[in-house]
Amino acid sequence: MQLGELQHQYPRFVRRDATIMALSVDPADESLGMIERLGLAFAVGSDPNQRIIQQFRVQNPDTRELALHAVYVLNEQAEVIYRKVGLRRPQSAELIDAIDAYYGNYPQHDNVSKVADRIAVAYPQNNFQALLEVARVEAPPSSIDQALLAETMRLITNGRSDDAVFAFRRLIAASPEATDLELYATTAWMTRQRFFSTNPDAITTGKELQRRLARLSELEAAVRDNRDKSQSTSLYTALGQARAGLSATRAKVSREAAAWNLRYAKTMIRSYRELARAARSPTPT
Amino acid sequence: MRSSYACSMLLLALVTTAPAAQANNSSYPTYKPSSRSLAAVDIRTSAYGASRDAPEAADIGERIADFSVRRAGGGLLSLREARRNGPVVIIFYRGHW
Repeated sequence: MQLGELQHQYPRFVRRDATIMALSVDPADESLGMIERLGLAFAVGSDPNQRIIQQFRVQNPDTRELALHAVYVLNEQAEVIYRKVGLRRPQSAELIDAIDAYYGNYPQHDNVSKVADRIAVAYPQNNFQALLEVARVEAPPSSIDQALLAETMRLITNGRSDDAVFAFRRLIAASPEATDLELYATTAWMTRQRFFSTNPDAITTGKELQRRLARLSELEAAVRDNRDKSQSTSLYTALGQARAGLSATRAKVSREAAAWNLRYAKTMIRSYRELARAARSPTPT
Repeated sequence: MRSSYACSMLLLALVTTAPAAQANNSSYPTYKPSSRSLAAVDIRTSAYGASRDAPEAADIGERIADFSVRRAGGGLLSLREARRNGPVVIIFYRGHW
């Protein structure tokens, strides 16, 4: 979670009468530029002597004068009801969920009823955890085994995006609300990196891209070395052609990747729907 | 079509060879502690937010003594004042780096 993202969700905290304090070791006045740049409405405090950092015992072992990235939620009695220290940074929704669960209001979704609306809210955050936030819907608990899904998604995403497992499972569980188009778009986005890593056609396109980049670099060097301007016309013509060629190849890559990802996403949606149906079906006795 | 079939078969194979499914029927929030964690867990547990880098960090249920710090823009930021209104979210961030 970054402070900008927190600001984006700030009204949700206000509705819960929650106060946000962001603390760092920076002198108070040095934070003013950041506050203005990010448009922060919540309080930013200064702990230059690490007094509060030591009170929470979250000193960074590598740089003792700094804190680990840590988030705490306290109740009105100043008791810790949620903490996350030095691990994956939580999204705001996680903190909202922690507050709602403590006060007996979980799950609560601020009347954001459509999956599409949630996607619109979370896309700017641009990571898989945001998808989980989007997908935290009133889905019935799935009986699909999480480890199985994690393994499956590991195969699908080269093991680098396992947060997507949970997001995707919940999206599928909520699929009566979500249109296929939303699911395709989401999956294609999740799997966009797969184009170059697994698609055999991409190797050809990738080689073409590399060749054009090398040619452009070669010509740019030649232009720099052509101090007496003896070959200017021919060099600049070749340079223009190389740039145009590179641009065309990049557009080709983009088109191919988009089409490939959409096909891949459709396959995945079908497979997961089948898996979800199978898991929900009563076991024959 | 062939790739779809192959993918379905792969998933089917995983279903049939995986350990018995454990339904997650908890009505409490569950998230993955880190991107390497296989499973999402209840975020209210001590283990959820614990870090090896700070094993003594303030834990769930611990009462934090009131404090106040200088607020950017002027004035003081007081935990005692803040918690009168409701829950307080405290974020330690690294600042300018």
